[in-house]
Amino acid sequence: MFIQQLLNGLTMGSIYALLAVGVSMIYKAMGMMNFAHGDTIMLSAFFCLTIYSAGLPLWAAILIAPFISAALGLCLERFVYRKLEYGSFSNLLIATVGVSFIMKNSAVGIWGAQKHNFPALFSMKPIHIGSFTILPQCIGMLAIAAFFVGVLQLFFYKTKIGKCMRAAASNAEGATMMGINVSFTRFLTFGISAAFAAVAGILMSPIFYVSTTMATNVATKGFAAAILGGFGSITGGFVGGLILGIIEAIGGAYIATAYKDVISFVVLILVLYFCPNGLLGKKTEQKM
Amino acid sequence: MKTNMKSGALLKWAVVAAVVILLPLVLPNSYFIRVLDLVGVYILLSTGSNILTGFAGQLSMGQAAFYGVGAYTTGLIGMYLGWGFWQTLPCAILVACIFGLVLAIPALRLKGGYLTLLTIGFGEIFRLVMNNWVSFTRGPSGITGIKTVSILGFELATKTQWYYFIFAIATLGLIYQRILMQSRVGRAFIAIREDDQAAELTGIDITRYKIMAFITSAVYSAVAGVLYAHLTGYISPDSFTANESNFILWAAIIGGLGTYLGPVVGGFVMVVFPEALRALGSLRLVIFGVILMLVIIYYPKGMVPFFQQVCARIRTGFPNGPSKQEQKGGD
Amino acid sequence: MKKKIFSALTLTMGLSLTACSGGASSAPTTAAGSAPAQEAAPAAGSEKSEGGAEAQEGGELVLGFAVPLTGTSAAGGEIVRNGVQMAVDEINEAGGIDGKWTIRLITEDNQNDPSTSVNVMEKLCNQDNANVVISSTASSCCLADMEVTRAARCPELAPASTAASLTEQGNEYFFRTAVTDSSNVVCLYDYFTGAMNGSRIAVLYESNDFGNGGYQLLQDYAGQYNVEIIDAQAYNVGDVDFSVQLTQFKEEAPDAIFVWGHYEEVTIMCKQMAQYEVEIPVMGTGYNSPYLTEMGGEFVEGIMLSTCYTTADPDEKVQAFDAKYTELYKASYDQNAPQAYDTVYMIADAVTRAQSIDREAIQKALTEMKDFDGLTGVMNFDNTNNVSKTCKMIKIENGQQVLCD
Repeated sequence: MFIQQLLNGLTMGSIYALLAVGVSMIYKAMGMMNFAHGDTIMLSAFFCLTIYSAGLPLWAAILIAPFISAALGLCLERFVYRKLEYGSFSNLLIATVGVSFIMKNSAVGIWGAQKHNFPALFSMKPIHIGSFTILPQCIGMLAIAAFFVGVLQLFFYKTKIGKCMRAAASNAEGATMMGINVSFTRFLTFGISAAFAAVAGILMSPIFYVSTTMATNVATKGFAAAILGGFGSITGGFVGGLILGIIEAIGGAYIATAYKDVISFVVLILVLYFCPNGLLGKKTEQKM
Repeated sequence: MKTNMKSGALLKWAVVAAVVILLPLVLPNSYFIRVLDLVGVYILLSTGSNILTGFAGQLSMGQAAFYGVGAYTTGLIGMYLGWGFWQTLPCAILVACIFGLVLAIPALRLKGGYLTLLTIGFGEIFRLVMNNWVSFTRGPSGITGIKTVSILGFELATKTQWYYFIFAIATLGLIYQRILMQSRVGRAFIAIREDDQAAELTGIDITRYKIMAFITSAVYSAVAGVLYAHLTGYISPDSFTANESNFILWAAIIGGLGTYLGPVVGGFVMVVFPEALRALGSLRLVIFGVILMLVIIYYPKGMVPFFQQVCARIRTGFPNGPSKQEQKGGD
Repeated sequence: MKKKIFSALTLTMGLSLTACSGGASSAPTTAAGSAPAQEAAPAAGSEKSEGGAEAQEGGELVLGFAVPLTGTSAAGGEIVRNGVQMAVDEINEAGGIDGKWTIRLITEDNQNDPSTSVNVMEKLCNQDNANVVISSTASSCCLADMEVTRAARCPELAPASTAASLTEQGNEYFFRTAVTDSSNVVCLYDYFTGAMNGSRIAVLYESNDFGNGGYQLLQDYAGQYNVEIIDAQAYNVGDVDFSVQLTQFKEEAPDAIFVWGHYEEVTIMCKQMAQYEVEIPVMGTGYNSPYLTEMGGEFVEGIMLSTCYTTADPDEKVQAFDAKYTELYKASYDQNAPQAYDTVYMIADAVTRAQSIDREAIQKALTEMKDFDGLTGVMNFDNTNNVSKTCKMIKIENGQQVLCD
């Protein structure tokens, strides 16, 4: 039973992990909390569904949606957040809340409030290992999440532009002196983060259905997962997401399912109290 | 305020007072007054947010929890013990102090995103517990039949009477905010906001002042909650969501963080605009969001510093010339 | 640039102020979903005296309608709105109520927020002088706004709110036209203990007014039917993972799982039941929606539910409604659409009998309603203004709703 519940937690955990990586990246590079990330996820899912409904094959829709989403992210950076000059933490934060508010209400206007079905991406047939049941979607999502996190890691550590982005994120002034165009690396970070949101959105769609509220509940959990792993670290966010998923499943099973969310927030607060840098965060914040 | 401007200032405030007092008398019906009542509640809420976030620099996105603490304390005590407003108000303040302290303790060491998430988590826990602890709080059904306020045997029956009551309390709240912020406490808050390490070096007990900021803010929000509960007569967890917290912080930022009158403008904008824009139909909230974004982008310091600039320009008679006030900005 | 923005802002500020103070004279505008019939209605609203007090020969009935069109309950709100809009348009096209009163529908968004909901109700009752109002889907919003209608002595009808507490407030101006949960519980237990011969149940319910209320009633009626509730689990609206609850139910093996929830979560739950190979019959209420089969597909086969409205009903009114709704809105709907539709006709019926659009007269006529025959059954109000309807058990077979026998 315990191990079964632990396995159950991995599906939600993978989703939280993807969300956590998306918000962590932005927090690290811009020092801002992106509360519109959940809504970018929601819009990406709608983009994908709209393309698919227009008659294109599903794989094409899945390939195109992240690019539209990235374009949206780039526009937001260029026309909204850059105008705020990354000056005040609270203003940036409330600006993302505003963007989220506008996105959500526009989406209701465009696509209506009803939920839409999305084709399943994985086989529905469960896999049995001994007495345990694992769903293919769980393995699939975990694998995809791990793959993209790996690709991001490689990008940030092995490519020149990735290294520049890291440098700009950890010390904007120093990077500027070294001739790195910090403004451009920020621009790019937003695009990548938004594309990441699209990946999360597409993976979530078959489970959550596509609707304007599909990401509302999980968006906050994405932040919580990022915090658990130590804000700003990609691997930390990934691990934090999985931990959060497992905490929820086990807490729900042994305490009460209605208090599932309460449990995860209580754990979050305890972690913040005892290790303010997150479970995996080092004293000096991990480099991205 | 300079001394030679004192009489002018007095006149200005007399005009403001007259407008506030006469306003409900010219409005056609109780719909408008109900909206104004809510503005009063929001002024208190955003003052709480302004003290904590604007003056002390501790960003909180969980203000709705304190709002709910006030509303639920009065609602629950009223339901179980049958006490009225004047008995439950001190209880609510006391409970708010405890909750403020509870949040302040883990918050002391946190900054930035970590602090934000802590406050969000706090707000969510409060709402979810109120929602799921059905045997105690009646859960999602909420608490009905919360009695109106009676002052020395006179019961507040109409929305207009409520308006005067709420605005009297909101005015007291604003005056106290000003007194507090001009005292040593306020200077300590600002020092912590600007640079808490430097503040500590100059001998400011930052632990103490941070806790004070959280508690003061909690009390403001709780008083607003008590007023809201008695005004509406009904409370449910649906009123104390993360969205509400966002709106409260928004009100403080739109008005101008760290300004004395920011909460008034912010409260007005956040309550009146969504109602006034009803004629726009389904686009209403999108347009409301766009207006707020424009303010944040073009007037990042908020509406009050911007109004001050405009007033200063009019006064000096140089519509485009430089003015002294301009540099003061976020005062 | 700055100057432009400044003037724009000043303008909006000014506008909002004028809209606020001068609002009495400005004609109220309907929110989303304006239909041609509305424009055709004569605009006489502003000169009318408070609540249209005197009984006139002909004129205009102002129907206020508060409904969530944004926020978390917007999906449910849209359905209710369509039902109301459809009935209003039909009545107006036929020349109004009893050929005398056309209906002017004023729809306002309450965002599913109790506080906004009070604002909306204040606007409808006191600013727009509605003769009668229909209130939103969330029970908490109704509980908050019913004080306003009581003070304004304006009848309020709730076509989609199920919470028992609504009609326990002693508010004689509040009418629930939604099917009550006790009718559902009786129907479910009758079938479960009768046709299914079961005795042990596990309950899975939404952690809100609707689910909690249902769970409470299941407990209340359990003794009477000799049903044992062996486990009860709540979930929050929007949850997508039921593995924890299902894993537990699988071990406990009850005769049936009683679900008090909406199609969003129920379809997900059914999918996961198949995945975790939980083979226990599912029955309950709240998820009567074509989306159930559209989204649940093969996984909801065999699922049972109790409802007051089903397209499996061969009744021609029902079939006509179904055809018209689908044609007009090209979308699926749940039982709240026909319940909202019935509600408008109940108002029309009350006005016809009262021969007046006075608030008090409508209230009185509503309480005297006798055997109103609507889409959702034959209805009467009991002494707490709850509507009585008989529920039917239905089952999903080959993607279609069929009546259980």
